[in-house]
Amino acid sequence: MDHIQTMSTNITLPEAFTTTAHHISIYFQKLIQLIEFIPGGAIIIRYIKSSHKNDPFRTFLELILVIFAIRYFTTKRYESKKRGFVKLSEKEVKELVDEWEPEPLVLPVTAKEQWRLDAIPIVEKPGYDSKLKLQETSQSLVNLASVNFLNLSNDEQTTAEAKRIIRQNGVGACGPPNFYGNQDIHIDLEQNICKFFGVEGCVLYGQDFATTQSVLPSFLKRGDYVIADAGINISIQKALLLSRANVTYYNHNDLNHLEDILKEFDEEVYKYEKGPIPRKFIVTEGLFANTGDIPYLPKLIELKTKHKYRLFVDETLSIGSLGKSGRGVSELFGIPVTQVDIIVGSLATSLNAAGGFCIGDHVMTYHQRIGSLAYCFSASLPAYVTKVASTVLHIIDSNKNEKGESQILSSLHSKISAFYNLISKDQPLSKLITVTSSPESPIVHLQLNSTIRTALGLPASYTGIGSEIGRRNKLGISDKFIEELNNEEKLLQYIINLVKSRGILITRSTFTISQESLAVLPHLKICINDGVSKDELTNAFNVIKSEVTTALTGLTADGFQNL
Amino acid sequence: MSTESREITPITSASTTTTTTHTFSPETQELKQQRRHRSSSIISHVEEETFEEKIDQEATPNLNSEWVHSKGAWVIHIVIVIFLKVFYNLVPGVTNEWSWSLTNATYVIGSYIMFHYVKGIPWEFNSGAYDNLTMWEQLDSGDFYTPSKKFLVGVPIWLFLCTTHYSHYDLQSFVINLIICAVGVVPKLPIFDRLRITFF
Repeated sequence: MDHIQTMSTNITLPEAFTTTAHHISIYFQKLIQLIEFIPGGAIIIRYIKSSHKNDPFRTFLELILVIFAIRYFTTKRYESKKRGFVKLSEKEVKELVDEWEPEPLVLPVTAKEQWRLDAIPIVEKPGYDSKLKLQETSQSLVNLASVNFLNLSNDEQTTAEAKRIIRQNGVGACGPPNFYGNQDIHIDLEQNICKFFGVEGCVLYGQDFATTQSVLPSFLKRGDYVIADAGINISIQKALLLSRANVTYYNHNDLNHLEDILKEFDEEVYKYEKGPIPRKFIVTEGLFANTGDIPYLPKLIELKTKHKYRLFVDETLSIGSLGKSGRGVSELFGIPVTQVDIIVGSLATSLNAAGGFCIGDHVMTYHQRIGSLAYCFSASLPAYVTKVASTVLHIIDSNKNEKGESQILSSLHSKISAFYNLISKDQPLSKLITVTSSPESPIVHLQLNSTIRTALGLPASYTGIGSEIGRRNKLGISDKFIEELNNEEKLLQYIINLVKSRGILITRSTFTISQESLAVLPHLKICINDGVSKDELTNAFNVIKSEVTTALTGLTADGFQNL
Repeated sequence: MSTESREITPITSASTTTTTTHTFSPETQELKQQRRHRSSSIISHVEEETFEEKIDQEATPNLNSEWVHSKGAWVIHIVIVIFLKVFYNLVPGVTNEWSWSLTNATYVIGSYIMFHYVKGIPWEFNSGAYDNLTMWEQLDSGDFYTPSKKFLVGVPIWLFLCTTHYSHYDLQSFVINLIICAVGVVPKLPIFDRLRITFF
């Protein structure tokens, strides 16, 4: 007992360590011997032995790394919680499916909207001639409702060419342009359009409404910037939505506002951009489909050059109607077409065919041949349609005088300005309606005067920011019927019917109201074409004036019931 | 179409003359997105995608990151490492220790550029829905601990252990290789997901 006590007191601290270390090393060696029995164990031991090199800290680090790797490999996969989906159990799914009652695909026509169907005139012969006959009553009408501005839809030369090509090439192209859809006639038309406008490249599309929606997204993506006019048509609105670019709108045709925005973007946004330089576009229309006015192109060109933007102009209505030889809005202002970076036009308006096209420099148009969805996947135009467009271009250019003015267009322009002078300078009429279109526009837009609109209790706008439709779209309400809009459109149709009963067919603007995201108002539209004589136009003006006056004088908000 | 992003966003204008209307912006994405770039902090976090971006991301398979899952894509990592080692061995004047370290460095820096530096997709098919994300973040639509990700974390660790072993545990090369290994492994950890470190 005594001996042991003295032993324990004599043991120093370092000795205790060495003894424990000694014991551990014995066990460790036994462990190593054990490991060596395992197949491949000898290799591990050799590796660890040669790794150690009398540096335990390093071995420790490596061990940690190995443990980390093992832990990483054995962790179960888990989803990042950023998906924003709700996971429903099978029972919940079943309940939801059972509860769901589908809305009808097409809502039944209500009594309040029945007039829309009744108002559609049915004409005897197909075509958009300047003279029509109604099917039921055989009443003759002067057609001021079609966009056939040059009145070439039943022209002998164009119809003869169309017939010839139908016999030669049939009626369908049977495929997208890149997949056997393009025939020699298509290439001819592309070259003809290039020659007509003096541009490097042209791409044909099968549908004019889809042209913009395919061209713009092929050049724009997220992070790009678009400054667009707040009066653009629905086709461009949808194109910009599809392009995913950042869109900012400037007040309709207010180029000072545009300049302010451009300056602001230069100072506030682009300066702080990192990474690749974004693409920057100014988007506008040559002749606004919603209002009938024309942007001041020289200023736009100046702004886009100064602030390094690309200019996109939708010339659906202006090509073949504006400019001394129908080259559109750039010719109207005496600017070369090449100054505008991208022009989209329609073959379905003045050119009397179908489809659309995009013109510009070679690189820009060539990109579309593989980068534009509608060009790649949509069927090409029928051959005879393209031939008609080629013929119309030929007709426009064939009777030019030495000043470069096409005879057919100067005749159209004189009629437009004569009618515009009549309708815009009429004092009594200006108290009832406002002419929103430009003097050069072949479509004359008449909007109810703002005083009358307030008197009738109509809102300043039906769509756009802060409107009722905007609210319903936001809340996902599928019922888009608006009493005031229905009333206003009904009133316009009432005027159209009155005018129609006196032998003149005019029209009004129609919208897919649920899809419009910018402010629009319904207008009366008078589309002047070359087939109508000046006398007929004067007569049409007198009829429209008297009928508008009858319809609008003394009309109160309650009066809508009686229309 | 997200309704939230359609709020009117008046552009903050320094000049008071232009206060009239910036009311037309139904389609304008929040200018927040633009302002995000102005953040002056060195460390920033990539914001969650909007509903539209998510739809665009999931509309089509991401061809930029799908190929990583194939067996050939796994084998090629090993092949590249062997190829690099052979290449550095052939360079005159490079010792075995240096040859391993250089192999390690080349592989890790190369994969860092590929997985963590370059953002977006080299070609265009979903309107730039992945433009803010690196390839690592695009992999498996951002899920963690997937087989491909485990493999890609494993390779730099394995390479580091090989390197230190065959370079005879010289302290200098050990430290260098450990740092290189950290460059290869640390950005792949879930806590560093969508983190951006920008110095200028």
